[in-house]
Amino acid sequence: MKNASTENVRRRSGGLLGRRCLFIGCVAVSLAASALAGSQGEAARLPWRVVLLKFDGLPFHLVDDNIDRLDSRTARRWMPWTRHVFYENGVRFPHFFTRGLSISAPAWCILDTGRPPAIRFSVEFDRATGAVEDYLNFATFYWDMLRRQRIYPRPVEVLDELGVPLFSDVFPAERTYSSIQLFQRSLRWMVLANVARRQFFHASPREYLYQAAGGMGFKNAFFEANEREFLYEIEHSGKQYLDFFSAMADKNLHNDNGPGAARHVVEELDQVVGRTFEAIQKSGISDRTILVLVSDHGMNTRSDRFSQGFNLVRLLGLPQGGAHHVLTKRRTLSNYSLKILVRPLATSVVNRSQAGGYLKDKPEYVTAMLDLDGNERASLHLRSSHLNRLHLVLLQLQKKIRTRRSPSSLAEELRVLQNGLEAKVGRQLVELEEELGNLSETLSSLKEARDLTPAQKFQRDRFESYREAYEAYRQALSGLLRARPEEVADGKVSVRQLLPPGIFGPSNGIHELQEYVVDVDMEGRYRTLDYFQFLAGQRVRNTRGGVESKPVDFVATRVPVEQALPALQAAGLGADEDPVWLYASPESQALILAQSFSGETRLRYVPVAQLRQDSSGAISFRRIPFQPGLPLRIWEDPDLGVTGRREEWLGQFHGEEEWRWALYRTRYSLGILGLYEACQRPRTLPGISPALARFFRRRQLHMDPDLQIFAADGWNFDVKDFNPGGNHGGFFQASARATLMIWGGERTGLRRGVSIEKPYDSLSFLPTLVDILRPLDGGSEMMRRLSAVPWAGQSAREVLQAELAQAPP
Amino acid sequence: MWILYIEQDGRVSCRRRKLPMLSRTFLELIAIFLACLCLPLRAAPDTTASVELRSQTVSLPYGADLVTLSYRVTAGQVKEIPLVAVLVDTLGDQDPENDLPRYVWILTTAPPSVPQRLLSLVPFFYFSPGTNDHPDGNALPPFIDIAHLDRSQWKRISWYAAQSFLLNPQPWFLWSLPAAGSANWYEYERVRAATGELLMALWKNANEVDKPLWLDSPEWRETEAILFGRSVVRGYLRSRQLQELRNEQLRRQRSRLARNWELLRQRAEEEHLFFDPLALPSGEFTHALLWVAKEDVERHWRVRPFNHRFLNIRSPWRDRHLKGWQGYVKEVETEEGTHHLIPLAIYGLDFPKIPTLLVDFRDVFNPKKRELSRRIKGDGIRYALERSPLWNGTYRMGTWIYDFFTGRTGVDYNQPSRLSTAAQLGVLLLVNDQLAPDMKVLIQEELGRLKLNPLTLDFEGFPRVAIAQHAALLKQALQGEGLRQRLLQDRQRDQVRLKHGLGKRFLFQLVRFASLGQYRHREPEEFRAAYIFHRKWRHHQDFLREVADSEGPLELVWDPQRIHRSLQFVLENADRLPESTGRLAQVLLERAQTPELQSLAHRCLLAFRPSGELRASGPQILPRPPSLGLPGQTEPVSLPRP
Repeated sequence: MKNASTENVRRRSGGLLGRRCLFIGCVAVSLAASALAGSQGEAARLPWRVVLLKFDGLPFHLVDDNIDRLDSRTARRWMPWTRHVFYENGVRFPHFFTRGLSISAPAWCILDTGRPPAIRFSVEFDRATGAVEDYLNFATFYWDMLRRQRIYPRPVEVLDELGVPLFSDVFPAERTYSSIQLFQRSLRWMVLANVARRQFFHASPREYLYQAAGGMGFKNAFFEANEREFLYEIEHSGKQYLDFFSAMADKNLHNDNGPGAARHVVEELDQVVGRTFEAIQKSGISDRTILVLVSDHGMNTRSDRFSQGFNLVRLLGLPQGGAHHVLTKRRTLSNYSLKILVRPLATSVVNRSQAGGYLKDKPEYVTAMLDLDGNERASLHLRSSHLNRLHLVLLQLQKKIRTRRSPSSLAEELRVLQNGLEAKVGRQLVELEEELGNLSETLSSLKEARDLTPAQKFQRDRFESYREAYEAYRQALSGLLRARPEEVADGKVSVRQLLPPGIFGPSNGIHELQEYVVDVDMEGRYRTLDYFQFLAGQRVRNTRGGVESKPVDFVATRVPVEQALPALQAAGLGADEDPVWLYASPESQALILAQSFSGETRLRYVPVAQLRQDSSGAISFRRIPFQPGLPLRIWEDPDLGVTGRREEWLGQFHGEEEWRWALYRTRYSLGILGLYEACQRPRTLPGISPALARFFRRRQLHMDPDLQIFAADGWNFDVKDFNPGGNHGGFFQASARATLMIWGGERTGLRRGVSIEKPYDSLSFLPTLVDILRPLDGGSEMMRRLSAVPWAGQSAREVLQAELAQAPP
Repeated sequence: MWILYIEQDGRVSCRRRKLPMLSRTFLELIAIFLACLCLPLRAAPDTTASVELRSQTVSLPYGADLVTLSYRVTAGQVKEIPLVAVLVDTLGDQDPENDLPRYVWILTTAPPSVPQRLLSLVPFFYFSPGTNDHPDGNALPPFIDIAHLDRSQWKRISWYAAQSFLLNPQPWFLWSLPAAGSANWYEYERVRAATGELLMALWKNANEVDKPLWLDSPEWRETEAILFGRSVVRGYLRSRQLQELRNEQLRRQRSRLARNWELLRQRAEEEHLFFDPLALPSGEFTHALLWVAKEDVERHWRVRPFNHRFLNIRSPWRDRHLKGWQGYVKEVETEEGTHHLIPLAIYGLDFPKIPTLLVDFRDVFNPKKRELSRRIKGDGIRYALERSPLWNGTYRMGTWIYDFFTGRTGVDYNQPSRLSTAAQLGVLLLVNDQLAPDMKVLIQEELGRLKLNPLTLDFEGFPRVAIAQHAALLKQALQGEGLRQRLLQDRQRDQVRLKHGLGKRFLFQLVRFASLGQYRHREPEEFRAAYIFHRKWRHHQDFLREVADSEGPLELVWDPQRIHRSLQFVLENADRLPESTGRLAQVLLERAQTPELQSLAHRCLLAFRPSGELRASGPQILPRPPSLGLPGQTEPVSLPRP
């Protein structure tokens, strides 16, 4: 029999428990509600908000050509939201170009920092240490994150080292939302968790069947999870800066040039625009929100032809190409490789040459490093030709290569080569020692500091690795300079000790590239290769779709101004900075000269032929008249926008703006400006401490390629896979013309339904954004900091309504 | 001899006429003489051939059109070969909105003969006795019968279950024959499906500008997605999911073709060969030829290395046969000069991972042995070792590992069957105008050696079979009763499904079974009008559902005129439409932004709910659109109070 009092106690306690639970539940709900209301309340207090949609590789022509398209069966619009938001109610920039090379890392660097690119290629190789910087590799980033070896992706680490802030750094962390992308400071583990959930847990049995039948793949699930989080943040949070990154366009358009792929891309893009726009409307502060759709570069894709691949890695590995072991960031034909399973996260792959040569059985001696990102261009580092000669002499001294040369002549040559190397690098080694000393001091102070943030700790570790690697480089070269022939001949010191693998030495000048030493014959004569002629002279038999049989359009390299000046002056020309030399054939070449006029840099395009550099460094060339077939084909381009006689106009120096207006409709778009940007020496780094500035500038110089190779239209240099779709990297209109469109709420003062016909490049992006936000801002500290930045680009103030555009900044 | 006649009333008919013996002999002698004259000593490329795809419509007296896609080759003489025929149920009127595609015939594939069917039961029998290219003139069954599509694959699943659980435990002789037969039959169906898919794609491409409505009908789209989807589970998916999968499948196919194109081109370039892609009239490249120049053979004889990876043929630089080549040669001009090209191989590009070798002009057994590799492995496990491929874990694991490695490295052994892409090559040879006629003959002969399935047909017999089958079909359509009866039965079936629920339909089937097929339920003639109306309604319904499933304001996403037309139809016929149409109207009303559409949607809604109440529409799937300030927008339309 139940005890009544016990029962009553039980009931009371049960009731008390229930009331407690109810109370706790109410508190929890109210806390959540207040958090929600609080965040929405915070949003309401924001003076303005900026939302960026970043689509990698979205060409403007794809958007513009399809904006009015209707489905043939249902008459449904392909892009209703883009049309409504940006074309009818926003501002679009039909002539917005990537500045420099149309590749992702430098392009996003410009867009995210507003400055000339501190990161100049998507993959960079350090000639001194053989290190590979792959800025596009997310897999290794997350792997390093899991192992607690990194907190930011590599591009952000490099920017931090160089003292270049991101635009989003201006905002407090709690007011910033950045999705997974190249330049991010936040992690999105929840996105990955949501991807897993979306892939493996479904709402209904039909969804499971849909997945089994090949439904949403991982990439789509990732894209969707990313977007969901982004939309939630817009609607519910008090974030002031939000951006969403998608590589969907780039991935699809690289692989498929068909109309189906184009439609898929624009429809997906439009849905993102639509959902984002609706989320903004629901957020409550749409009247003072700016929505931007921007891409880093375009995509050169045509539905009537496949892009055709030319394998530079294989070419360089052939005997006639120099029998190089080539270092790339990705494995050749990675989809058909088993080795990739052993090292799936490898950031560098050695492509071994099967040709005979003095390095045939030594694949660790990489002598060429090739960056192929974008596929429409390539950057090539070759080991110093001087080091090649040294290597051959050392091998002959140790009789590892048998020639008819006497030991005394080899010893004499070794001395001469050492003297030559001393002249090239002697001073640099002294400076490097000093720079490493500064770096050591910085490291010591970092090691002694007690309150380092995790980012600073990782930076300290990286500085340590730089110091070690560069110290090894300095000692190797110093050892090489001190080596005595008799020690080498006696075997007291090995060639590997004197010349370790991975050291490429100083950059090759034009003379070295025109007489590049690749091997030695029985007589001891060096076999050389003119890489300009070799690369630009390649021909392919099997081409289709109107693609020309010459895969390499032209090759570009920088000419040190001190070497070029005598020849320029003799030809009645001048330059204040290093000219850029473009080589299409022996009789079809050009120089891009830069001179400073009252603080403004002006450029000039000069056709030349037969440019050569002799062993003393003297440059000679022949000036030729403007004619069809020159690199960039400006002369014959019907869309060249110049006033007056073409020859007269082209025979003068012009500023950037003049060149933009002249070139923006031409086949090679802003190629002259892009080449100047891409081939310049690294700029001064304003944000870095003076003690370290020299070291990092040296490091940047070491990452300068010897040559930049540009593919002809319809060609690509992809080796990782077959790439019949589109490509980018070069200066063709479709590759370089990116997308920029802006919409603003009622209070933003943005014009509606306007197309800005003036050509701009990516340096103008952030100054324009700042000018749009300034009138909304009440003079906050954030805006003061933004206004104080010496933006390199021109702001497009014409996006604002007249009275705002005319107001002083 | 079969002769096509065009009657005075415009009908096309086909009659057989027997000639006297003397006339026949005389004609045959002339034919032989002319054939000898026509045989060239050296094949000259025929540059005057042109190919045109045409569709012709024959109206049938029982309310249907027989639409045939044929190709016409003009190469000296005009030759017209029918490829695929579709019977479109028009109901005898001129309204395209109620047209329904019913049956599809792939005319280039003949039904297997009795010897073929018997031989297909024999395990390890990898030969074909030849095509049944003399059909008996009876109605050939359609390849696709949309009304009876085995959407849920029950037949296949049931057969497999029966094989696994009933037959497999039996003695070898009893289970192996049906197993071999069903495997061969399944492969035959897949080859037909691949051929049909290609032909329908050609048709759509040929009619891009003036596409008939039935080619875009929901029934046809769903049929395509299920039939060509190559997945058992597709039959269980929703229409929208099917379309997404189909679009994705087409994108992947395109990507596959493009990648294999480029792979082969690069390999040809690296090995100093000539790459010659073959295109359909739509411009899509599905196959490719590889050539070697005679001059290069002389120049590189025994010197140049050859890497056969992905090409899977032996080195041309050590082939004596090529050195003294006297066979077919094609002359081309390039930047390097004149080349005399010798054909080496043909590859199919629509193949996973690598282009698949279909024809090796120097080694007839080469493609065959590669095709056999998977079969022998699978059949050996199954019939020799008596292990079930599906249920044996060790076998599946081993197969997976082996497939992974061969797929990863691009080895051409143990790959999926290439018979589908070979059949597509057969079609391409018909419609391609780049290849010279004698080259086509040569290819067809070589392709014929890939007949590893007793049920497959001779490729060189395509035109013959197609003409014969089309003639039989026409005859049957115009004069016979079989097709007419089938169509009428299918219409009746549709009407029964429209009028009665599952329970009653089951009852009708039961009664029919009990009466041994004597009783077949028929709807009265008065119901026909409702059925015709329903056919028209489903066209608008499909569109309105798609509109309702989309996101965003209607006027923004869709052409308002198109929506207006369908809503107008709803309004005019509200009394004949089901109650669920009211929900559609409600959804559209909630999303319409302009007064015109709002008003029309509201009137439609009132037609179903006179009280005007808006019912809860369940979980909010679609986001409520904000006010966008569209021109002409006023306050949202408020519904009148009851």
